[in-house]
Amino acid sequence: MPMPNLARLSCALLVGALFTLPSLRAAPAAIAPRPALMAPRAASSLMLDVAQVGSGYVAVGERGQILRSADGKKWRQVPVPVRAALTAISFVDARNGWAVGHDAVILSTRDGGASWALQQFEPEMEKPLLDVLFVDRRRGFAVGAFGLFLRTVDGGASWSPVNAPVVDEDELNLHAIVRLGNDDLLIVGEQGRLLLSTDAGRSWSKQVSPMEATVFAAAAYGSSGSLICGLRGQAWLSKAVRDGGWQAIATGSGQALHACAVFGRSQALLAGAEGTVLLADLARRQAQRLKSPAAGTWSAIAVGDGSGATVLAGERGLHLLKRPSGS
Amino acid sequence: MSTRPRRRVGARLKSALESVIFAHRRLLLAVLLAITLLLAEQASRLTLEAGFDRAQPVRHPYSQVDLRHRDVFDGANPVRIAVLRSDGDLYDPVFLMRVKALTDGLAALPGIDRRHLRSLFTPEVRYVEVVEGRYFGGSVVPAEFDPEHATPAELARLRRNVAKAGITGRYVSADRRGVLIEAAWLARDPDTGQPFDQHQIMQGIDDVLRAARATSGGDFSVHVSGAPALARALAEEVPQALLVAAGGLLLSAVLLVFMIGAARVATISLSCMVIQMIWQLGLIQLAGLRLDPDAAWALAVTATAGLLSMAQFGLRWLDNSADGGHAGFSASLRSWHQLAWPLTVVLLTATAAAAALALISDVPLIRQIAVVTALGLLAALPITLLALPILLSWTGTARIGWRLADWFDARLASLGQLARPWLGLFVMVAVGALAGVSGWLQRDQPVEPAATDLARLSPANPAKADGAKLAAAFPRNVREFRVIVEADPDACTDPEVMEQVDRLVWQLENLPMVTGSTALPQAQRRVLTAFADGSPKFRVLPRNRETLRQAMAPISADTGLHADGCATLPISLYLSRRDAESLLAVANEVERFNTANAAEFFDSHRDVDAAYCAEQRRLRPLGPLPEPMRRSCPVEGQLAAGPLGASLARQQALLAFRGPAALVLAAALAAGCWLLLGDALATVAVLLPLALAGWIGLGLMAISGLALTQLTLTLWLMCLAAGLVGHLLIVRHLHDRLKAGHPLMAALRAALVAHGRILLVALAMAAGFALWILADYPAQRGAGKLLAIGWSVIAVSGLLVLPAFASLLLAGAPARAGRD
Repeated sequence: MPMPNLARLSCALLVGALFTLPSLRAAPAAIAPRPALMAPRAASSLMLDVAQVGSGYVAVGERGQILRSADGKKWRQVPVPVRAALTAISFVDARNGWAVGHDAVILSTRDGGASWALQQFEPEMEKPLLDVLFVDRRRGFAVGAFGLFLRTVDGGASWSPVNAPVVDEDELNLHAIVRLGNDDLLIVGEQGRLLLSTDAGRSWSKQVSPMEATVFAAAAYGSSGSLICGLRGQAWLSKAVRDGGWQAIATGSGQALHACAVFGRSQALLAGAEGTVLLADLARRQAQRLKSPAAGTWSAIAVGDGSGATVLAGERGLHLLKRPSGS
Repeated sequence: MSTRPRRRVGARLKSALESVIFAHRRLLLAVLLAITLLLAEQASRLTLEAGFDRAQPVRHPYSQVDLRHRDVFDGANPVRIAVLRSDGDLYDPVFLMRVKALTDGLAALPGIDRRHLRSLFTPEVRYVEVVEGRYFGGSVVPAEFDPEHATPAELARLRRNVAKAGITGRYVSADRRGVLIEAAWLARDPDTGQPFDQHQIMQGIDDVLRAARATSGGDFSVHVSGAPALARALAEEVPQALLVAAGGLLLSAVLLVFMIGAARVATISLSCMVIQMIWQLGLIQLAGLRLDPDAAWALAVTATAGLLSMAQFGLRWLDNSADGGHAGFSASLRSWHQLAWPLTVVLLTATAAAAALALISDVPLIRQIAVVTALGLLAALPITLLALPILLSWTGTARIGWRLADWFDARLASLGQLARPWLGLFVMVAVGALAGVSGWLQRDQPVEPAATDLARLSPANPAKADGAKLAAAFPRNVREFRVIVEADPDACTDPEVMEQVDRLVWQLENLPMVTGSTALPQAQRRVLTAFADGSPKFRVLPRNRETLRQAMAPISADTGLHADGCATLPISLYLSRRDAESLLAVANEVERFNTANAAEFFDSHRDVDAAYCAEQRRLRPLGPLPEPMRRSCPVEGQLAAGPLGASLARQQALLAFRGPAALVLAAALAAGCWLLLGDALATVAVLLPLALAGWIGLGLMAISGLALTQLTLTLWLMCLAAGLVGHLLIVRHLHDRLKAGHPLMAALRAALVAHGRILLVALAMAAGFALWILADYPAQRGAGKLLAIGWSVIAVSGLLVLPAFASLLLAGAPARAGRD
């Protein structure tokens, strides 16, 4: 017997209201950042993002844990000054990177992820950051819930809201921001929202979207294209995002896809709810299901270049993905 | 000076009693016989029952937490019933019909606590599912599900619901071959107000099982665990245990005849011992107790102590009849005159020591062992000093006593050599070394292993296999360690509380022996993702109350994730191991969290401090908090509810109990010795060898594989109290002789000849107990080992160690006596 069954839209509105409602009890004191617990099982708890950094990997997770690995198999936790959930990381080179998360946390590293410094901690804002992208060591963007959109031009020393009504007018959740092959920037989010900037983030425009449901992730494809994926197993490909021309990928899945990564000449990995892992042939726009290394929901993929391993991050932690040979 | 009038009063009392007893022997015996019949009738109504909480230290803080929440989480008297298919999985219409029938049948039993009945077919077993911005919830088995006409689609849905509910290993077996039904009985029968009889509960379960079997085929097996099943299993052990005990007693009896050297006296003593046990059992029933199977071993302790006293009387009677050529009557009168006072003091002292132990312990089992011991020792007194003298007074002395007696006397007399300083010194050094070795051996002795009661059943006992099957099929059910957070009402929606609970869970999940957990924050996180299209990036506890309130909508109290209007939040941890060390590790981690979290909390909440929160914690169980006491305090993990928590409490309480128990026992015994001897050094001469025996005995138990448990520790202490008989009589005799001016060695020889033989009787009993290792019943093997080791050590200590110490301590006594 289905329980109170909220329509998706009203739900989104509700959550908007809820997260912004002032808490009923006055906060007893300013909330101070507390360091993440060093935990032996950090690598098997909910991990939300993973990236290849240099020849190794860095991953972030639900309790502020940041882990490093040389091979994607053995992970070592590093000290982090906050214990808020970290949702995304972005590195511009093997040394300089940033991580963002709940409590509007922004962290930075200058040594490839060995040590982290707190750049921003705004729990009273009650808005989580959901993705971060740096285009070089100085210029970066962070997107989050309810249209939260921040930028920096000084490597994160100071962050300011981006003044772009088209981005934040509906207070939709912005799930990801990517840089395309032609340096255009693409933000994806709730209600199939696609926002494009062709001038390095100065101005933004709403794109016609092939999706009405939430887009969770995007990846650059080719010289100016992109692969996007989201709710109900939907994935779409455009060879030139400025022109639209989105084509559906036959995923054969109805599960939400939370992560996608393009690799090789025209291949992609998509991963999401209930242990869904798909290998897509972008030329033929078809996907086949791969055996998931663990159950639960996946939230991020890092495809190692060269002989590097492919790492999945999700509900059951970090796992190596065995890709079928020849792919 | 002051002792003289008392002595005179004592002497007058003694002669008064003497004339009453010996002048009205027939009448007195008739009275004793009547009492015996009365008590035998009582004893016949005594039931054997292992109470549910018998081993729980009720004053221990963990037990307090457990008792506060037991009713909400487990019910007063939980029973688990596993129903496993022999072939195929549980998604079979016929099998599901049986499970439904069983559930319905149990629900209809009298006294069952329906709030705690859980199976696939009770609506409280629910699932919550989050799909893209919606959540669904429902009973795993929908109300309209009819197993008899279930379609493949419905079965497939049931399979999915089970997966979503996360009940595999709990209500559904790990291999999906069967299900578990949890039931609980009310603490008391609502009609009569009496506690439920375990046998009666088990009978009800059996009827339901039989009915379920009758309605369908039998390709499934049923395994019941819980106190009622244990009670039945223990009852099944009784006949064989009694047979083995009887065999042991027979061996002891044969040896006893040789030790006493007179078949008639030995037979009368043994008969008196049997009467003593009848009295003891009758008194237990009169005291309103149900005999715990573990406390029953104390009967062996008191029987031995009684037999020692009776043998002592018999031996003295033999001596008197041989020595002075007295006839039965006058020998008995003479013996009574000599032994009435010391035996009264010894038996009452041991009784008082046992009673003191019962008073200081808060563990029902320990108290019962002590009470049973005290009642047995008390019963031994009238039997030894009334029944036995009367019976012996009618016994002929012609051609009684064997040459063998002289041989024993000669051996005992030779032990008088121990009065030589160099020999005594050698014994002391040897005993000191043994004591050191014993301490070393005890280091590795397991303390209260978390073994279930089932582990102590015979291999052939079906309940043992039942328990093992249940544990293997439902690991989450038997390896659950519960930590409880007691907070303000509505804590479920207090972000600050939930953040701390969440952190506590996470910290505990990181322990190597913790394989998983169930707690409210995890469920809240799962529901919250529903508000954000199911994105895992929103699987985070929010910082505001309203959002948490939304998260609570599908999480009812039926889930067991919260109780008492959200003031009680249980955290269930599933452990890979259940040994004492692992339990302690979890407990320590909880303490570590509590300390660190409190420090962090007080750091950011200057309006409260440790004292305020301690007061709040004290007040909370008493009712709603008064307004000024309602400020937020740090979350504290409370140990330890559930069976594994109880095991940890037992272990900690036992370690804490060991020292005080030994001290109280020593104090009680010292008081008795002082009363009889009136001399500090003589008191030390009795107690020091006994204490050393106690310590060395513990080491011997450790190497013989006995764990330190409530049973072994208490039984051993009771042995030591009862073992006072031989030691005290020897020292008293020695002390008296020395005061009378006898030379040390002669006095020691005389004392050993007069009383040493009862320690040989103790050895005879030890041999009988040693025979118990042939039993199938592990608990009996353990008790047999303990009693055999115990009484041997006590005997050896009395015969070898005591002479050495007493000689040293009392060598100066004649001089003092001379000064008097």
